[in-house]
Order: sequence, then structure tokens, then C-alpha cells
Amino acid sequence: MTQLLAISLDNSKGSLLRVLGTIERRGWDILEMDMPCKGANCLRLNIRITSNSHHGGSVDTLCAHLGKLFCVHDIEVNAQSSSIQQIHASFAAGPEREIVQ
Amino acid sequence: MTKTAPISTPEAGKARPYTGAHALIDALKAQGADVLFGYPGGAIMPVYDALPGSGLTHILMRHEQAAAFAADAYARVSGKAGICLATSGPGGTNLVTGLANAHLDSVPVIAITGQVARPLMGTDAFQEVDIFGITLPIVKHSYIVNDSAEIGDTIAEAFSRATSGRPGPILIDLPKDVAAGPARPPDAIDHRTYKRASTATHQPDKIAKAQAMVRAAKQPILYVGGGVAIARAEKALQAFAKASGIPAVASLKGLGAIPDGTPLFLGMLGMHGTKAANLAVQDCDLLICCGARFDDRATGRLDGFAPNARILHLDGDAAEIGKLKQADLAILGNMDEVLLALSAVKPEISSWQAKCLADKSLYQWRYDAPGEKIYAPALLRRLSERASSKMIISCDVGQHQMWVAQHCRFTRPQAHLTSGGLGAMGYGIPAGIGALYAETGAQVVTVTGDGSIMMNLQELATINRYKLPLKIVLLDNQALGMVRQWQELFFNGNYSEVDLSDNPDFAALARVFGLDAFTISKQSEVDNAIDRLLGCDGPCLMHVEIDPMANVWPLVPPGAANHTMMEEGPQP
Repeated sequence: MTQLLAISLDNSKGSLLRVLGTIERRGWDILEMDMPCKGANCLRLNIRITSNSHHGGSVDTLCAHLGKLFCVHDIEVNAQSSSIQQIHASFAAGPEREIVQ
Repeated sequence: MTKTAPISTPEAGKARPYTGAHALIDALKAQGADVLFGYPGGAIMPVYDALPGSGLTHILMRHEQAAAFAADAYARVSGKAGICLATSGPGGTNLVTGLANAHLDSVPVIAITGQVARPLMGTDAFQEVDIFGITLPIVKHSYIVNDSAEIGDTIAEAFSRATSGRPGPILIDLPKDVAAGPARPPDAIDHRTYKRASTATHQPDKIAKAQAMVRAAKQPILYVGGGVAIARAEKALQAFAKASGIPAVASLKGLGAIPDGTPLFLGMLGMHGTKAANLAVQDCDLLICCGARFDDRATGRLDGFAPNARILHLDGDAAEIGKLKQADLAILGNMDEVLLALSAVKPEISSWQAKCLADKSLYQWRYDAPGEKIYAPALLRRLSERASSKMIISCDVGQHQMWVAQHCRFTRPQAHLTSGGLGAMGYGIPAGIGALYAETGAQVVTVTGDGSIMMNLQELATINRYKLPLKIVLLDNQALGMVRQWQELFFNGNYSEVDLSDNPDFAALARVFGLDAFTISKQSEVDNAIDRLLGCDGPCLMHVEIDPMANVWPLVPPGAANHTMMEEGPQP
């Protein structure tokens, strides 16, 4: 099934490679991608992907893996034409983002 | 145990400029670092220049891979991040196996690599490789430090990220000119302190549902994985197991979380698991997965794993929920809290307990092997019974690794160091070294094979240099035993490239490195040999000749369900 992911991420060294590598390693093919300008410190990636996984890994699992990347801020999933579903819940475990002065 | 190298030449008292390397050392000390495992080289030389007199203990390993493995074991035993150092190029690439190992087993390792100077990066300079790019898939996070002012914060953040949540390795690539260039001392830097994010569960609805599932179960099983030790939730798990009376099985990395000897602990499950454990999982109606990840070595054919069970999955990592097996209920977060909440429930399962105990008794291990040859499982059982309560066993990979898991008695997970996810031969001896630095007074035994020991044999020199009291049990079947076993069983006995009958004289080899060493080959020698090994003050290698055709039993064939395990004797 084709999915459209909209990912906000740091504009930091390696962040694109981490995101794209995670998607491919977790059993998904990238069909289409664009990166509209968002700002100096934050990138926005729109990626259309399809699963090539023999075990049928879910997009929720993929998003949970992406959510563990420290460079990823936010992911939105749009399954085909259905409405965009925010999946902040994937970040509930909080990849240790708290910083205390 | 000597903690410093015999050759160390700090220029005490001489004022030197404060560099990025000094900032690195100070940042490591600020995080509580005490021991580093490493190997110097060109691009990391400024860091090595700052090391003497720094107060940090550096252990000079003889290969960067071994440095990463030692740091890994140090972390597993101490609960702190382990640190390894290497230079650019081959130094970094030699770390890769160790980082992959830490990644797959969720171990907090900080790897610091030298890099060529910034103006040379991207020019294919001498010893330049993109170690940042090479390691992206096998680290939790990574950094290239382009400014000495970033060093303090980078190190602080790296430690926080390595150790929090699901732990993992962090790579920090440090260009030589940043390390060698001027830096501000720490009192002029605004150091941030990081702390673990809260993993409080606060999911009362889910806990109530979980309690209801446990209450309704007639044949529940606890499936314990390495996540329990990562969460330091052993006590809560043991309390829940005791209060509920639910029988338990463990994955390779879950061993020790419920002490061996606990009556309702049925042993390891999976490919080389006990028959009682695999049958219990097959028959259970509720599988309570605690920090395990449904690895293929544990589950066998996935659709045949716990086929009649509802799944209650407790984990600290959202990405594990539903990754391979859909859970009927998943609770993410603090495992301690959930297990303690579940301890209030006491299911009525007396007939199930009786069945599990009967299976455990019926299928218990037998050690009465006929003949004069040494039966490795019996030797390992004896070793583990004779060792002190502070025993830690590190093992390599292959048949002996499975025999250790089956036959040694573990009462805490930190006592069993094994390369579980990656299955990296060569792990055992460096891991033994790391464990000795992690726990003062531990009795550390490395169990290795004649294939595995050759993967990091050079570390015998490290053991001798630092006079580490590591005990090594080398089970020598003159073959790559596990591969030979699979060729016998699944490749029609076509033994291809597994013969190691031209092995060197391992005892003589160990003596050349300065270790005490001896060889045994008969059952009657085992007891005295174990006494000699464990009684030796310094490092000692016991070379054990075993039957080249010995197999690990039982065995679940690849792609089969766990209850279809093959057992010793003629196969149907």
C-alpha cells in the first residue's frame, strides 16, 4: 500500500540520510520525494513510499522507528487520499528529548 | 590487576595549551567516565597526547574491534556507558563490528574516532573514510564535532542519548585540527546537564485491562527478554513472577532476570531452548512479553509461536510493539510500574503450574554421557556450580555459546555476556576484559571455541600486559562446530570449510603470551582442572579437547515451529 509521509526534521548533518536509510532498511521503497523549503534549521520532507516487506511491516512501526531518530520532529501520515492522521503517539516514549539546564 | 600501562610518559608540571583534546577529556570526566578502551593512531593523536595524567584509565587493546567489545561489556556490567577510542580510517572501520553488536543488543557505547583535519575532509586524504556515514545504520546517533566549543555539550548529550530510553551506541567523529586546536577550559563553557526523560507509565486503563487478562488466563507464560535488564526491572519481574506463580521462559538475553533455580523458571526458549520452555509457550493462552522482541531465534516460525495465546506486550520501545507479532494489549513505558501493578493479580493456575513443573522434571538436562571424552555441557554445569557468586561468564559465538546458555546457572542478567543479536565471533575475550574493569572483585570466565578465539586472539597480550585475572575455557572440537552441525543436519553431511584440525597448540600459544595454560581431554580430569583454573591467581587458559561430532540439542530446525524440535538420537 502506498503511503505519504510528511516529515519535519532538523537541518543537521546526516539527518536526511538517517531518515531515508531508515525507511529503506525497514522494508519500504521510496517512490517520490520532495523537500519544500521550510527554514534554515528545519527541513520538511514529503515522501511517497510503498512496502516491499515480506512480513508486511506496518506504517505505524515504520513511524515508530523514524520517531526514534533524534533529528525527526514530527511525522504526518496520509494513507492515499484519506485525511492526514497525526501520529504524535509514536513519540510518546519520548526519545529522550528532555534537556534540563 | 594492574590498571595502568607499563609505559606512560606524562610531562608532569609542564604548562601546555588547553586544546580540544583537553576539552574532550574534561567532558568525559564530567560524565563520570573512568575507563577508556582504545588504540592510538594519526588522527586521534592529540587526544592521546592529552591522556597521560588526566586521571582517566586507558586500556590499550590490540585491535579496535576488541576495544569496542570491551567497552560494550563494561557497559553491560556497570550500567554506565562504555567508551572506546580509535583513529580515523581503519581505526574507525575496525570499530564497526563492535558498534553493530552494541546496536543490536542495545548497549550504551560511546565511540570516539579521530578524523582527518577539516580542510582535508572530502579529499580522500590518508586514512580518511566517512565513518559517520558508514555507521549511520548501526548507531543510535552520531556527531561530527566541527568546533571545539561544541565538545562539552556534544559529549553530555551523547552520554544522555546513549544511556536513556532504549540504550545504544553513539559515534563522535573528531577532526584532528579540532582536537589539536585551542579550546576554552570547562569553567568558561556553559555546560548543560542532561537527565533521562521520564518513562512514567500513567496508563491506568491499560493496566486495568492487563490485570483482567492475567486474571482470566488459565495457562499464562512470562516471556522475558533483555529489555528487563535494560530497564533494571529484574526485582519487579521477580516479585510479579513470585506473587502470580506464572511460569517463565527467557530469551538468550533474558537469562538471569529470573534466577536459575527458581522452580517455575523453565529455561531458555527457542532454537536451542529447553523442551519444557518451548512446550509451555506452545500451549499457553496468555503470553506476557517483558522486554523481548520476538527474535527469530526465539520464536522459530512466527505463525506457529504461541499460536493459541493472547499477547500482552510490555516494552520501553514503541518500535518493538507490533513489529513482528501483533499484541492484544501493549503497554509502553516503565516496566517496573507495570509489573508491580500486575503483582496484585493472582490467577488460578495450579493445574498449569503442575503441568509445567512436570515437563521441567521430565525433560531436565542429563549429564551422564558415556565414555571417557569430555562432555562440554557437563563441564560447563560443573564450572558454573563451582564458581563464586560473583561469577560473570562472557562467551563467544557458536556451539559453546548455546551450551553456556543452556547449562550455566545465572542469577543476574549482568553475569551473562553474549553477542545475542549480531552473533559476533571474537566477542568473548574482549568482553571478559571489559567486565573485569566494570566490576571489582568479579570472577570473570570467558568460554570460547577454537574458531572464535582466533578472531581476537591478540587480546591475550592485553590480558598479560595488565595482568588481568581472566579465566578462559576453550572448548576445542577442531571445527567450526555450529556450521558443521548444520551441514550434518541440513546439508546432507557436506562438510564444507569447517575443518580446524590443524589448530595450533592452544596451551602453548597462551603460555607464549604469558598466561598459565593447560590441556585436558578426559572426563576424569574435569573436576581438578576446574579447581586449578578458578584457583589460579592470574590469567589462565584451560584448553578442553571435546568430541568433534558433538551437537547442541535440542534444535528447532530453521523455519519450523518451536514444538517440532529435534532431539539427540536418530532423527525420524
